[in-house]
Amino acid sequence: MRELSCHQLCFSRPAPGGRTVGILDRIDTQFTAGSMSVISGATGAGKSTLVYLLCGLLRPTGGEIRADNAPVSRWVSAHKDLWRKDVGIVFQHSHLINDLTAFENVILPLIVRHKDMKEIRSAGLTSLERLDVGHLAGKPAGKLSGGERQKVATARALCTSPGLLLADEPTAHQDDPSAAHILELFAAHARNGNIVIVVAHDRRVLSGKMADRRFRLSGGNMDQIK
Amino acid sequence: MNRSPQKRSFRPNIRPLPAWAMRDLLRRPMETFFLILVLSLIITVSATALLLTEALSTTAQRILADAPSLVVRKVGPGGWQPILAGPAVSSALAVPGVTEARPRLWGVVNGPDGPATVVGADSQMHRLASASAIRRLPEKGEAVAGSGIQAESDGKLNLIGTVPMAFTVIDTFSSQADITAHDIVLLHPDDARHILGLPQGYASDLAVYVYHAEEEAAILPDLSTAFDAPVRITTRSQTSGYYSAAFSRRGGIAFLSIGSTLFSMLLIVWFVTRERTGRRHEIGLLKSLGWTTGNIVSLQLYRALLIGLPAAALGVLISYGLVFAPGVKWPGYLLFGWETSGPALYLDPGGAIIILLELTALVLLPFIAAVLFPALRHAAAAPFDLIESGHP
Repeated sequence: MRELSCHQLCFSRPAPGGRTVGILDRIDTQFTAGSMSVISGATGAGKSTLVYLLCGLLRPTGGEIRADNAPVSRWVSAHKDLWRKDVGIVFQHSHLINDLTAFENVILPLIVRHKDMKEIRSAGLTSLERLDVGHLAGKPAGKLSGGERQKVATARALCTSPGLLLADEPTAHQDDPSAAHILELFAAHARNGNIVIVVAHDRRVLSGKMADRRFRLSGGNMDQIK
Repeated sequence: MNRSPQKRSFRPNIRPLPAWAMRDLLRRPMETFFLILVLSLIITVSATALLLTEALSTTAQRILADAPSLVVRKVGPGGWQPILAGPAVSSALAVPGVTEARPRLWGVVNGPDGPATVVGADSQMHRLASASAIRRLPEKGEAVAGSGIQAESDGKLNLIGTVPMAFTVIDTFSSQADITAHDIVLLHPDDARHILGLPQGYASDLAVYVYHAEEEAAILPDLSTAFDAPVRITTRSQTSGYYSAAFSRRGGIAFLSIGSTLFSMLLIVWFVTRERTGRRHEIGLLKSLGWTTGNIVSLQLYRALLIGLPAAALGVLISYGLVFAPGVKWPGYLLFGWETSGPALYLDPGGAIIILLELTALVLLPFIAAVLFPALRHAAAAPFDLIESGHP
């Protein structure tokens, strides 16, 4: 994927009393391959909503999202499902399946992308090793700590080498060395010609030197920080 | 609790989706085992009922294939009367279309445990011996008995007809002939005539064979007027109707079990549907990770087949054994009240295929639908809503 862009992107939610609550308001921006962007904002600013919109899990209430100039936000679900094969997501709450092992959670996206279990196994283990959690491969996800779950979720997102990587608070439960390592992996992924978007209010992410561009989400608007 | 991935189950060159479906089932081994067990039990009950009714129908058809086209019996004011064999054969053969007419000696006498059907072994009965149903035809004072006729410990068989007589049992009919020969005692023609009180030259009835089965109805009017005395003629189709009615009624008892089977099936469908509905979050997560609706439906289809096919194979195998295994006695007891043996039942390939189709429609398809439908419904829903449904 070379470019992901938002055009007059709006999102609002229905609220009690027939009202709607605006969350994102006419956002115009673009993310290009080879760069890592960091989006910050206060709690409730709509950062996670933006991640869900950018990966096509939510449909905008106004405007559109284009990937390589194709209006992905207007596509039917079946087309978006296929497009999402080139997207990796690190969810804020990890979203691991507790009765699967860490290794099995990591290979979930690979099952439908590869035809050989050998390749899948190798890619899954490599990805866990890159996050320094290879030793947890056989441990059930339900027994992992918050930080370990986050690393496994990150390994899952990176193992397919996606053209678009979206990460929602990926370092929230990490100590400083681990946070730095994760951000370095993201930066390396971006340098390999992919789009990386990190959403965080973690100061280590915001103050780090890894990001090529920084944005601030506030009052439904997103502004680039110089 | 660490489990090394090196020791885990995936083997090379296995297609990932079926392998994952298997792994998914093994996540809940007790539930998987329970589903296979219950489904195989349901299939066993259904298949047994279906096999039994189909086997009865097939067996009846085989019996009737050897039956005469028409059976002529003389009737008088008191009911059935012996027929004068020689003139009756001549009269029947004079009717165009009749290829063979054979006088038969048979009747019911009192045996050791109840009524027994005595049959005189005429010259045509050598076919029984050649078909291995018996080793040889009985001489005077000898008898060949069906499995339902119990001789004394010394091999003697006491029968009471118009006169009491004792015979030495030299052989019993093979189990293949049991459904027709269960209560039959085959005697030398002179012995049969003696115990039944039939004068020399007389027969119990006349078996008439025609060239084409379709001609039975056309020959019937000519045949009924060909004899000097009034006769009652039974066609093969009438006999067929009798057998069908009798077997259908008895087979229907077994078929009733399908009602309870279908109720069990509904419970399974409810259980599976509820279990699938509880996995909305997982389906939403899979979609967010790049799984398409087709991938999710395929996974569920593999799951359903991995449970359904072994259960079906096991159920069909058990039910086949219950109905057709040598020495199985319960069908004989259920259908005919036989306590000592079971009938040899037959199944033709066409009937077997129909049963497999019926089982697929009755059990497998509802089960697969119960697995697929919730998955399809959730896979088509917005992934965000599904993921949020399992928000920690």
